Amino acid sequence: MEKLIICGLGVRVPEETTLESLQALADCRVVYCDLTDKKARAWLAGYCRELKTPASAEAIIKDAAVGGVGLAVWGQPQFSSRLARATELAAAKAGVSYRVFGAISPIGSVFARSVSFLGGDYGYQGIQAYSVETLLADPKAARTDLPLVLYAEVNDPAQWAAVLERLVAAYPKGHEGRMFSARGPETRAPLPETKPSDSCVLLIPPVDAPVQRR
Amino acid sequence: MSLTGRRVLVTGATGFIGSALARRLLKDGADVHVLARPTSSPDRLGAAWNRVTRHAADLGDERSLAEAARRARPELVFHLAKDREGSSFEREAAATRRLAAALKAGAPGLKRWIRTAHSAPSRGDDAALAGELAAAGLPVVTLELFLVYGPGQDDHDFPASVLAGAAPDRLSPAVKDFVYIDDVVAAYRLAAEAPGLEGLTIPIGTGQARSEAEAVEIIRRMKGLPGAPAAGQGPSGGHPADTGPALRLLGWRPRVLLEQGLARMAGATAKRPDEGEERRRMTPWLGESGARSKPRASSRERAPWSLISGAARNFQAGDLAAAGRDADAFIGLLPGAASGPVMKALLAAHVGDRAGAERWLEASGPSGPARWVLAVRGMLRARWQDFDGALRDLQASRRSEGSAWAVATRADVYNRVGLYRRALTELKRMRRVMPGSPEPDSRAAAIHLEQAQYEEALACLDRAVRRAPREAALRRQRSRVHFVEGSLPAARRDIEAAYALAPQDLDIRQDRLRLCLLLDDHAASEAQLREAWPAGIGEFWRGYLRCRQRRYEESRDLFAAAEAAAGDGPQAQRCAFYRFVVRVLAQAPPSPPVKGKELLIMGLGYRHPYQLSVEALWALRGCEEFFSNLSDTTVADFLGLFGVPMRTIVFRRTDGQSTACARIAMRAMKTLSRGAVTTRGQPNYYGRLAYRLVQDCAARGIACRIIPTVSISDFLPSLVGRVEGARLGLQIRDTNDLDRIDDRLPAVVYNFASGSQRLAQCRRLQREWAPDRPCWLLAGSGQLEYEPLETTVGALDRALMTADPAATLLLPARRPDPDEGSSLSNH
Repeated sequence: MEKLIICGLGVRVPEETTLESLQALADCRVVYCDLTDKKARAWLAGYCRELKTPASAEAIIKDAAVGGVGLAVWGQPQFSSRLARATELAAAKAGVSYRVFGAISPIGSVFARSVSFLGGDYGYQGIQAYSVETLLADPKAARTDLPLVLYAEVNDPAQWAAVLERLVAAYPKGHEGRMFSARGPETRAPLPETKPSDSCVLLIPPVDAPVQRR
Repeated sequence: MSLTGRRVLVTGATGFIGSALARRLLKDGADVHVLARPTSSPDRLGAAWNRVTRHAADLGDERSLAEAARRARPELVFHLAKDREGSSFEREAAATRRLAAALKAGAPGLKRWIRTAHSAPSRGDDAALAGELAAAGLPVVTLELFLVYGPGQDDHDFPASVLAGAAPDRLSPAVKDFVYIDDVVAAYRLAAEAPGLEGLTIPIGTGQARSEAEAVEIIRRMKGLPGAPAAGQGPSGGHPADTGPALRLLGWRPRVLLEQGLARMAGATAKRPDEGEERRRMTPWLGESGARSKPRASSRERAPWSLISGAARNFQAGDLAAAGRDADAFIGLLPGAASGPVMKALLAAHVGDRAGAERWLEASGPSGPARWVLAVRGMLRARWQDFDGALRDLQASRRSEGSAWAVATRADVYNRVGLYRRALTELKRMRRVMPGSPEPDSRAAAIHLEQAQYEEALACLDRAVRRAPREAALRRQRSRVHFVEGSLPAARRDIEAAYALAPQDLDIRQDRLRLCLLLDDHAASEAQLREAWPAGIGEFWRGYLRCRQRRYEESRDLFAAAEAAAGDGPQAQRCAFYRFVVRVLAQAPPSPPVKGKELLIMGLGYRHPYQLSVEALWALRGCEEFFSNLSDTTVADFLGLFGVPMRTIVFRRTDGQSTACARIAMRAMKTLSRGAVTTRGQPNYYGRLAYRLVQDCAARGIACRIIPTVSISDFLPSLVGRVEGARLGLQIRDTNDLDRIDDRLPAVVYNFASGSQRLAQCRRLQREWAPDRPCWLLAGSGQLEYEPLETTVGALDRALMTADPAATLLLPARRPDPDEGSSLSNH
């Protein structure tokens, strides 16, 4: 049994949490969770022996030396949570045995909810997904002929504004983005009018529509 | 001293000392892991190459070292590798520090690290390094080796070079301490166990001051040659080892004198001119291809063909030495017949000596292998995962070689590489060769089932059952086809027939009970549940029935009892999971009312059903019927928990079949308010069925929702356990669009074709990326579906050609450049 387990809860909590992750967290002595959403925390607390807010990756690792520690984060731990990534690296460095559980990523979440398809002759030929911070480091890396998924665990209006400014220039005028938040329905708006919120995921369809074959 | 079952990591295992040590550790029963570079040669390890766990890693690369340490999780490390760039102390020290960091991070259970001081002039520096490692908390002990010699030594090293015939005109005047390889290996093994050695450096030598001239003199005497070259002039530095510490701390003393050691080397060299000692010692009956040994006296009286059949019998019975002797005798009597060399090839292949096997097969006929021998070689090449070569040989053997085993082999190989039609054609031939046997039809049915060709599968099984009506396994196989096809009553008829033939068979009994439960035959279910079952099985199925009846409290208790009885293992895991599912179900909010009609499309998770989302679980509870796109009993059992009817709709990759499956669901939706189609991973990633359903629902005014799930791309990086770089994100790409991949992020590549098209896709990948770039391949199904295969882009073709059609590739992010900026640039 690993001393530390790292789980993603998905974009929408509790809906996108997997049973496997929830079961593993329920078996932990203590679960650290950095979600701020009160409803989500209350739901998770119903399955955990003790739920805490983490101070840092180092603090989690210190506690994990004893074993029985879980970390629950937004999205998929390896693609969308800086805390989960820092904790995984720190665990590896400290020699603390750990396991990362597969989780529904922001990419999977918006692709399903937007009823978009990945698949050669009837859907898109690929997906590119970036945290806002990563894309800001090199906006040239993004392609407009593939669907682009953008997400940020915590809303930083300045970062979103900066990246959207770049994207508006790259896409045709009026090109719509589809915004999926942790709660509520999908909203669609042209890129300049997109209003990101906490734990939201933005899907920007490519300039060319996917192949439609019947 | 017991090393049995202990996890050990050997660096430098393909070198002279490392290979001898690794073989010895295997003999001790240790679980031996070795670091290997892509360029490492397996020659020195011989047959042991296939018995060790190899980890691709380079001492110059922290990342690969860390990964290897994490995967190997060694208790003991024997560090004999040298940095390949050179042997300066600085380089050695840097490599050692990299390994130390990797072991600290990835080997929490490390008990002892036995390292090697290779460079005597840097003794002081090395002692300081050893102290530094010990101070860092690593349980390190250093063996300072003097001049190690013995069989397996490089031919250009002294004294192997002299034994190989070199005549040095100048010898070193320095004092040497020659220590025999077996003694050195013994020292390493003792150093693994002796207590209180942390931070110490122990010299390993005989304590005897010898010179190269003395060694040459001994060799010349052994060979009967006169004289010896003069020792070189100049300062005669050097000193023998102080043997006190080794004796005191390890209880080690050298056992082989220089004279004895050189004699052993000379004997080994004379007997084995071109292969590793160990393999020869293990398999003296292998011999050399082309050599025609004389029959033994006892064999002369036996007819040649009884010898070869005796060899085959001995081979099957595992007496390889006897098989080898019989084959030798056969070759002696009938040197022109191919059967003897083929038997020798089979023996060589059995011990992992592919080169030897190929040589024997090549030598089986005067102008190369006969066609039937090509069939053998094709079989062996398939086993070696050389599918290109296997297909060439099997194709060449096809016209002339029609024996049952050859036909079956061809069918098996064609099936494995995705050439299903050819496989079925071969099985038709097999039917002609084995007219009374159900075997060809049973095999053909399995292929048809794999292709979701149910009618054909059932026709094959009908024939097979007619041929062997008392065979319960065939009835069960046919029951399974009916089950997958969605015809539960027919499946039940067959399982009842199988039960009548084999009432004690637990699998058949559970299939029978499962079908009763799924068909809601309560009386039969209850009656079967009252029968005697092994501990835990009865509780499990009773808990299952209670869950179907939504009596969650009782169900939870019964699953808990089943879990307690199951101990550890998959059944206990399943019970614990079901118990948890019942807990979540009991707390689920009421299902929202349906306005009109609604079809849900959901995945059960790549690691199904464990990765099912809470949303999907809640939704399943509110459905009236399920349509499962997965045919395995794990899924059937899970969906059966909800107590609503279930149909299996399975197709394989062709659009026509996805249309037919969608039609079944759409027809059923005429009478349903809410139904659910369940797939495995994300339904809209390469989900033709989901695509078709969305289109059909839109055309019929049925609301359609896709519920997200864990896809293979979400899951694969956690299996690989590799986090790279500082960037968060992911790319998922079709094999048809691999342009402009952002290598700061991991990339998942999907949608590999089969057969030769797959090879072409692989070549494309190899053109795009550097050959030494690591990558991981995950089979989409089968036994290895949760074990990513670590490889490199350069070696991808072999890995890909043997992978499942649904294989997925993960290319981790490259590490970011240190100066990688974060400034914005214009799009």
